Amino acid sequence: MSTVRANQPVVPKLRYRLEKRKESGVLSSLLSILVALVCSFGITYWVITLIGADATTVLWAIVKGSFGTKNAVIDTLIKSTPIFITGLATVVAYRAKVWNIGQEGQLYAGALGVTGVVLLLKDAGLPAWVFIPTLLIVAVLSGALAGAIPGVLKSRYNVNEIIVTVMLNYIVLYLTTYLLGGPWQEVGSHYYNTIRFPDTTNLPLLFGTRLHSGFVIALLLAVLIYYLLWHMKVGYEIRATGSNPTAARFKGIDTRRIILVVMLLSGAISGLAGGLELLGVHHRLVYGFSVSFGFTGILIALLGRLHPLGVAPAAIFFGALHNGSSAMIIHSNVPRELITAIMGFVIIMLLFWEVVFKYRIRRVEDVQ
Amino acid sequence: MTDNGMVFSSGDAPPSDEAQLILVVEHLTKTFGSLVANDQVSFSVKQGHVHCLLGENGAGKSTLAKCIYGASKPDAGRIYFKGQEVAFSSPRDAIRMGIGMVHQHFVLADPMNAVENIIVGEESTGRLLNLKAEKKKIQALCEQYGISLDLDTPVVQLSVGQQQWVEILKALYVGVDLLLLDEPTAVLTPQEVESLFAIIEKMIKDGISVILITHKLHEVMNISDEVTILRKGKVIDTVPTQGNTKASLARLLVGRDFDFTVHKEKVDIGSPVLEVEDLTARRDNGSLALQNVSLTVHQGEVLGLAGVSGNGQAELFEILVGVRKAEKGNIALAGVEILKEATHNPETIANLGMASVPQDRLRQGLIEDFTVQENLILGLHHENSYSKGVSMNWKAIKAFAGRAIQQFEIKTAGPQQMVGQLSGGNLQKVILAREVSRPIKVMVASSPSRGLDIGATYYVYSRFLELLQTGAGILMISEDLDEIFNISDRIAVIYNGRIMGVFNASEVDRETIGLYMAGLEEHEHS
Amino acid sequence: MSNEFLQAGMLLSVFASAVRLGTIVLFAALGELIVERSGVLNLSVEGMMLTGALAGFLVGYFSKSLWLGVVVAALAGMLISFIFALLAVVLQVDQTVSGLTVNIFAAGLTFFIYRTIFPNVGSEGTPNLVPFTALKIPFLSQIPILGELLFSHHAMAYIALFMVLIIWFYLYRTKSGLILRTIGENPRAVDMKGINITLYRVLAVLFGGLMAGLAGSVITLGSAGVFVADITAGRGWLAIAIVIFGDWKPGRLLWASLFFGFIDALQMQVQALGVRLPFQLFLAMPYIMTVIAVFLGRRRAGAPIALGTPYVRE
Repeated sequence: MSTVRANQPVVPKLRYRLEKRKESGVLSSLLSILVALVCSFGITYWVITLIGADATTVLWAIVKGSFGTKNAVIDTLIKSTPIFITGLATVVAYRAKVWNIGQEGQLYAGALGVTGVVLLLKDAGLPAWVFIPTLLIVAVLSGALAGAIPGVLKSRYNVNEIIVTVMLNYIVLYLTTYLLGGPWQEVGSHYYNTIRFPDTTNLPLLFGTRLHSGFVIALLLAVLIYYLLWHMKVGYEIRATGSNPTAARFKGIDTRRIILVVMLLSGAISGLAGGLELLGVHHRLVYGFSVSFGFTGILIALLGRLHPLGVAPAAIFFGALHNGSSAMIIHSNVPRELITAIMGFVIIMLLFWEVVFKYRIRRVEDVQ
Repeated sequence: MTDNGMVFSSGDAPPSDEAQLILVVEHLTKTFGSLVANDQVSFSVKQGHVHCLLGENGAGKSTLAKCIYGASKPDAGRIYFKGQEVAFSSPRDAIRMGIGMVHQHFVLADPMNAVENIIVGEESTGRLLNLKAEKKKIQALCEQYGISLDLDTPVVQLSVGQQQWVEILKALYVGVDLLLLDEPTAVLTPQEVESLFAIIEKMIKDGISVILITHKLHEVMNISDEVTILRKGKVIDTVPTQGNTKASLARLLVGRDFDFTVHKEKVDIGSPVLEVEDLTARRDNGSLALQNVSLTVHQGEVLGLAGVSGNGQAELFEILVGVRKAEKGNIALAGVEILKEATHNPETIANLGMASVPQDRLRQGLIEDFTVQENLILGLHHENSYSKGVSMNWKAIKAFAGRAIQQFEIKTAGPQQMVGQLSGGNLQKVILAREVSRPIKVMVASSPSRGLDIGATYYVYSRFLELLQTGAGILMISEDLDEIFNISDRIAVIYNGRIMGVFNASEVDRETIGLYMAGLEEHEHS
Repeated sequence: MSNEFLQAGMLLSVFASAVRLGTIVLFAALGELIVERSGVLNLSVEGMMLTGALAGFLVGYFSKSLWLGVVVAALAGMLISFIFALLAVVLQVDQTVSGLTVNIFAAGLTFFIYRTIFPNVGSEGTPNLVPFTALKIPFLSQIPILGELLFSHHAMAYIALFMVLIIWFYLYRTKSGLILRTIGENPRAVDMKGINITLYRVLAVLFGGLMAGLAGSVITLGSAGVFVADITAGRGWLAIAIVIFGDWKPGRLLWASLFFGFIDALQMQVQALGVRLPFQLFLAMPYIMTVIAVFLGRRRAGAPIALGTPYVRE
């Protein structure tokens, strides 16, 4: 049985240890975002070069295409409007940890509602100041209805909302193709589209440009959502439900009601996006009018850390990319789908670096 | 037993100097950031003995055990096991060498049976499972140590005591020479504790050494041969149990003459504030949690509800707070019936004057990602003082938070700090500050001092006693008899969802309460 | 008389289709079963399937070897699942967020690669290949009716069936399977015994990716012969639903997959029958049934207790 011999020299050994920080400051958050963006930029550059295009030309084309001229800026803002709104819809739901993946279907639901009412009342001679608000309300209600299905199923029956909302996306889409290929199809058209809506349904334009007031509505909505979540009682309950539903319940918050409320709100907001896009840009229901607005909204919400202040720049960024990618296609052989892949990659980088910056390496003296 | 000829030493023989040392710990230090959990800890365990590590919550016992067991790497110091220096990089190394540990909180896979839980992950030849052969092996072990257990049912259906036996079997199955038991009796009735000690004695006879980690003095006196007393990370002393008393050990434990009871000023007991009548309720899986439970709490009194957890207390708490439905019965809060559909929800009940301190602070009482001030108004956010119509009044909330932090001496960087960063004692203070911010008639507190050091514990008790003076009544649910006997005026015992008896605290002793907790007696009570 | 034969023939072809389509979902569901049994919820099944579909198609198209395509498809699925494993298991980012992100990334990546390699689809015609033909087992497939019914399916179908047995055997008859199941219920229990939880979960996720990749290859190499956007049409989500509906048991997954294959196959036949309902209703049938399936499965008790919770050692 050995004991420590008193005159054995004590040699301190240096060891490295990975330690999780107790709190990560704003600085490390910003730094992680910066590193993520730099990495993404680098990878994008490399991939574009890999497929044989000149990366500088391509990237410059995107920038010019999205912000180079006044028209480009307008187009960017127009393209960012629907995803801005679906992004906000996602924020509301995800803050309660209700994983709504059905923004696409809820957006189409809003569009369907609007189309139905337009086709019904197009000859009623309603003035714009009556017609448009009515239609927007219809869009909101239709979206809320679409959100109600997963909302009720989850809040009352504890059914997984992810699967239900994804399935509803497909179901609503099939409903749309049925209507567009059948009763709602414009007579004489070979495509899936309705007649052009009457001019009284056109959303007012801003500053004499093509930018429709939907953009302003989106901005107002962002402020509203911020206020809702951080200054209203129901917003407090939403955040509490998402962070710790057990404690929330114990202290009197009706988490089941909150789940339903959140799905109704989220669906309603996405429905509004659909209605605005129809009345502001297309003026008819045409198949494929949504270029993945729903899913992009999810991306934007995640990129924006589930905060309206983050969603806004993310939405404009995405809008810029979508706009600029048209220019990109003209000037190179880079496919448009690169954008979605890059965006997914950006989020992966953000998630990755956020975690990495939560740790630090410490030198520890190990006395043997 | 081993090849260097260790001497057997039965539990009754006095510790002999010739007994070999199976474990020697030298100058072990372990730090977590700025907290020194173990500070130059040195002690040794004689082979074939029961050695207690005695200390209050926070003294460093669990950390020390983890280092010995291989779950934690000490920052400094040496450990010698069976005469050889060892440095474990994982519990697997320790198990291979013959050290096993039974944890305070069991680590069992609920839907799987005892056999599966015992053998999973154990090294053995072959890739295929042979459950029948393993079951036979385990049955033999059970017989050897006097354990009776259904090896086929999912462990979630076993009683807490039986679950612990599964944990012990895990160690016996691989064959340990040194077994560490971390607060094993925290969830057992005194009778189950006796069974456990009988098993320990059989293990000693087989040459297995045992380290018992505990904070309960009477257990130390009951079964151990030596005691090492820890306080705030340091070893105070290692003494033989014989020749010491609870008092002398307690003195070593806290460093001063320990007053076993909390001084209470005389408070007048008034009219009933909480009357539970004939309460019956079920668990989520349909089994009966509470059967015809009747309790009364009066103004100015503390009614301690003693019982091993799992006998319906959690369900009782949830019903009182309003998150669980009852099947039948009445509950009157200061005369108002609260089990009615319209009134039975947390908000209404809180407004009627009920405060609650849950057992699991971070899961049931606080929101980790929220700030201190956001937590302080959880449940109160509808109050006129903290809201304006549909909006929150953050200015008023921040002011309230500032006052609460000061009054309750909450150690925090400020009202905007994330509550998840606070220590256990401060978490409890946040909950208390919130709960007593309005005048209350009844407080239901579940294991309020669990996990708190002595300072925080006394703080909690003193705030409770203050409440009594305002005319409130307290129902304290706890499985810790120290806690129960410290401040209760009357003590009720719950077992299998039934009230087994209600007594005046001054007229009853621990042993009697223990008998009732084990369901062995039922007392006619009013 | 001939009417009956016609109907019998139709039934058989429906059944053959059902098996073919059910195989796709079964592969993905079996993979996800192992992943979820280890306690991880991987929502990127759709994306992994898409990746496998593309990889299988590309390799099959350019190398003319369908089996090589299958192998590469499996590897491709594994590669994507590795990203998910890195995020969700190693770095412990929220599993739902990780899964959704990888899903979107994989979908975008797949179509980007396809477009890059075939920039002129539409104007030049869609690249296609000849998919697998049915494998008629000698002797057994000659048995009247029964031979047609049971022994004339594609090789992948038999492989899928075999996988059901293998997975059942792994989970319930091997030591490693016991460890995996325990990790899904209470990881701490095995952590104490020195098992590397992270490694087990990562391997489980990789297996899930492999199976999802295989599933994707069955779509392009087993029936479609082409690759188009959204060729998976939500079957990845269906696989996740089937795991819930099947109460996390391999045997039930088999029947559930077959059932959904039937619904899918039926929808094609019904159009041929000239039923007067809009065909979109039948296209939507599988999705409607999935919602019903998760509704019926809402009380399933077999969910691994630790599902979705990252393991943190205290």
